[in-house]
Amino acid sequence: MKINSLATLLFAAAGIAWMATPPVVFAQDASPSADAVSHALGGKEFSPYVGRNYPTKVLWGDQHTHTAISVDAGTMCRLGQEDAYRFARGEEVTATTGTRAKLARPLDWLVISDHAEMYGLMPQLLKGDPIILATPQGKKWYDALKSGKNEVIFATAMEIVAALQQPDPPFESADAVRNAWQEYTALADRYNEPGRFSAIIGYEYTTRGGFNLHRNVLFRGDASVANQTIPFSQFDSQNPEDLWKALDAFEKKTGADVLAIPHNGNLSNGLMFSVETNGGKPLTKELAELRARLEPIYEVTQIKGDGEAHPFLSPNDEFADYETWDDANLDGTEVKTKDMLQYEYARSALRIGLQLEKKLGVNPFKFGMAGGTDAHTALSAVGEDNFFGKHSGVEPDPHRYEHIVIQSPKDPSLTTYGWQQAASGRTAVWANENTREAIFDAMKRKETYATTGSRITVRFFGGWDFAKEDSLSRMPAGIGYEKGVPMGGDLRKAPAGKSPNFLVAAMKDAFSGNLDRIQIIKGWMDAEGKTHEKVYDVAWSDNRKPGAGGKLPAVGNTVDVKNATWTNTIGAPELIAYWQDPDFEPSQHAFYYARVIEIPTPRWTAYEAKRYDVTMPKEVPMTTQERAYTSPIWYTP
Amino acid sequence: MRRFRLARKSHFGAAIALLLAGVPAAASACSICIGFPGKTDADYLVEADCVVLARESAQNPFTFAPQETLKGHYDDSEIGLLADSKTRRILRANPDRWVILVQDARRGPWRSLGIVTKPYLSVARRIVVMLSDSGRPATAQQRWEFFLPLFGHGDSRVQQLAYLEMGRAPYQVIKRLGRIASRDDWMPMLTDPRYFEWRPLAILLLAQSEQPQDNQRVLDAFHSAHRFGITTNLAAWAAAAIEVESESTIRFIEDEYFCRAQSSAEELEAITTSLSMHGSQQVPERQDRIVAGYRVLLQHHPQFAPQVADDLHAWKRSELTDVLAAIQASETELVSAGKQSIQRYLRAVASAKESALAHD
Repeated sequence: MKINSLATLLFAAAGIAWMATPPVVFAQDASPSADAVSHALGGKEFSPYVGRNYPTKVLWGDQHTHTAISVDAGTMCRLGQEDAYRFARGEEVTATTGTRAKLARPLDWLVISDHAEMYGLMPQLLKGDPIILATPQGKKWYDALKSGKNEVIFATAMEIVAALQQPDPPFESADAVRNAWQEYTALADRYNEPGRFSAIIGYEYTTRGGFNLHRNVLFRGDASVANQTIPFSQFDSQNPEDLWKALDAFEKKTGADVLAIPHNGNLSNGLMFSVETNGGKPLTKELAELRARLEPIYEVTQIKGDGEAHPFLSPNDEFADYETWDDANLDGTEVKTKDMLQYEYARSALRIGLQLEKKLGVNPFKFGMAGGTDAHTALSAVGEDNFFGKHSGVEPDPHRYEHIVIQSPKDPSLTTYGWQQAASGRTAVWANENTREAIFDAMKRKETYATTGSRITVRFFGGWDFAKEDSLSRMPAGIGYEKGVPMGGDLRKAPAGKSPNFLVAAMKDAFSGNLDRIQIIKGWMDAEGKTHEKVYDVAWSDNRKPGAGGKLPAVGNTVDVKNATWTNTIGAPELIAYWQDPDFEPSQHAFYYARVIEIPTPRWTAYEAKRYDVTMPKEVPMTTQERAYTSPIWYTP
Repeated sequence: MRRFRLARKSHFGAAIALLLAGVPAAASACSICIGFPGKTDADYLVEADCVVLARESAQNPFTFAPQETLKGHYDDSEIGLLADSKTRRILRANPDRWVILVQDARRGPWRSLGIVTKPYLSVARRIVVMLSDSGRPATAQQRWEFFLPLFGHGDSRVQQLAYLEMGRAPYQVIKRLGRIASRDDWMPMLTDPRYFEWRPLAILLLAQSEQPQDNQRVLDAFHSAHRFGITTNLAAWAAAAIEVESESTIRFIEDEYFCRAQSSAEELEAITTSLSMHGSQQVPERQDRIVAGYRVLLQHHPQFAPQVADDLHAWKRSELTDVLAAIQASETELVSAGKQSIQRYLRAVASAKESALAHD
């Protein structure tokens, strides 16, 4: 945990002296300004930190890990929920395929989000749970799985997974599900250690078929809260709106707090951020309110692709085509068309949200950013040098780059290969303490950001009164909270004659590449109701000068692909900037979020090529530019 | 053997299409195995109004621009398909690859057959010319003859296409394939879990083997499927077991599937399909035995009367008219199409008898 403590210390309190001359700022050489010193030392107390009550810890975690408890993972994965906790907390475990696995740095929190559908069936079947064995289908499957015949076991596993695709469960399983759920919540309570590791209770609601409308549901409370229900599954309803209604009813009945985090809009074929209800009718204010309240953050990046922006939608954004999965829906049964893209990607959805707010009075797509793995291996391991893959069929192996992750039953062009997996992502949460409640509350107020795996530390504040000198502060967070709102916040009606301004600061991951640049992405809606977007470079390294049209030259590339190494001889360890919107129009709704880009480093495929001495096809990318996406700050006139 | 004379072509079902009846829905949540496609690339090429070879447009990113028209007339209208990120990356890195796009009808939607290599393109060109040109599509037999030599082709996509095409061939052709195909060309399908749904052809080819261990594997798999109630690929394993040990397998089917009340509809469907396939081979002794088996089936599961009537009609067999007439007159719940099948069969038998009397 050293790195996190250091980051917290540097960003929240003291130690960093930000260098002069925005937008290029290097921390290590800076001299603090008189104002900054005054701010740090000018309080009533001797200690500048007395009475400080803003979030000072950035806590790293994953709200999306599956174990053998999930029916699909359970057909291959042999690691259970306890293994997932032990691994996340930094212990060494042995993966399903026999490889020893350990994280470089432990996680601060984890949500084991096993599928709600037939929750816990596979392990219960394997251990001969009497409730399941009392059903003819359960007994049949148990006998087959215990037959010792590989052919029989595999065929049975396939039948079990196929049962997920049917409208009804293969047998009445509420008691079995409740037992498995309560075993899990008890385990989560056991592994939850306030101040050190938060085991947040959750599950994944998985709609049937290929149109990905999946959500992870998280509970703020402990087992005593979560045990008042069982996971809401596709067998309860195929319609996510029914999930919201069920969660709403649960909150009202119990007084508990829950939230849902959607993911992989890129595999929904235009449904994730649709402007219609699930039934194809115009969205209502009631549903928009429900979604906005229950879904405060969106998992924008994970192994099955990055969903911040799409190059077709953002042709002027040179960083938009990052780990893009855009050929079809989840199971490859329907090819994607261009008109679907706008309803799938976060930036576009944020824009559509402004339009819906004008129409409905509520913005259903007012979400912050999160990153998850969706690993079905029980191993939340997405380091480029430590990537354990989407499922146990693509765990480390010399040829996993050519293994099929998803193959369309209808169209070979929609096949997804191992090399396409993105070693991504992580959610960073700004909180006061490492507890379930503090993390949950940060998610609710959207004070979170996503990274593609790297632990870049980012602060982002918006307000009306920031000044250039603020970027010289030794305490950007202190100034940020004092003068403005953090990521996830709102700016209301602009004071006369003022434009919103922002303070954004980023520090590199000690284990990863230097920083290339910080960008602020603005989206807005004009008087005609049309939306627009623009990407602004606001801080960058290496004294580069923007060229014609304001385009910043590329940072360069030090990656030695053959040896899977790089040097931090380019880029900057920290960047900070003050930025004021030069194109602000007070009557227009807008949002702003920051994107921090690292210099190029080896992608997981480069590590794999070196490690196994294999030559991958030319199309396989060998370098990456890790990045962070902050939650937006919205401006509402 | 009692045959009635009927002016109808004998039933000559495509083996694998029938045997796939027990395959479950694609496992999309985990995507472990590859679904068995309902249509092959050859189908799309043959049925298409227009076929083009394309790459991403340099002027219009994310859009495909035709490089060559392989079939029909390309009218220069924009192709609405999205050139996705993976395809763009592969095409940029490999100048010797293209995508094949097909359009069913003029101004209809386009469909991508995916990225193709030179060997695959060469086969696609031949398919366009040999199988779908001149307004006279190839006959089924011409098609099998075309794909038979491509079975086990060095290019993996050509190999898969040939596998799928041969999977549609009648059982006689599959038996012929079993004699000439290298074991290496189909055995991986039986071991690679991703091709679980593609196994029926490989299972039938395994049944052609003369090696005792292969025969034993077939019988073991069939008996395991019965013991554990597995229906996936059950029709293929049952058909293979009948090939390996006809009499004992059919007796087992009668005792363990037909006479058992607990047999599921899926199991019975799969088993009946395997019998139907073998019965359609017009091998008199085996057909006699299968008709006898059908009598047992109908005694315990009269709801299968329509399927049996269809087979007997196709095989020109009149043995079970009494049973079927009784079922027709009974309270057995049958859909109207099923009732019609039985009626058509009974009428055909009656008509054949009248005709025979007239000739006497």
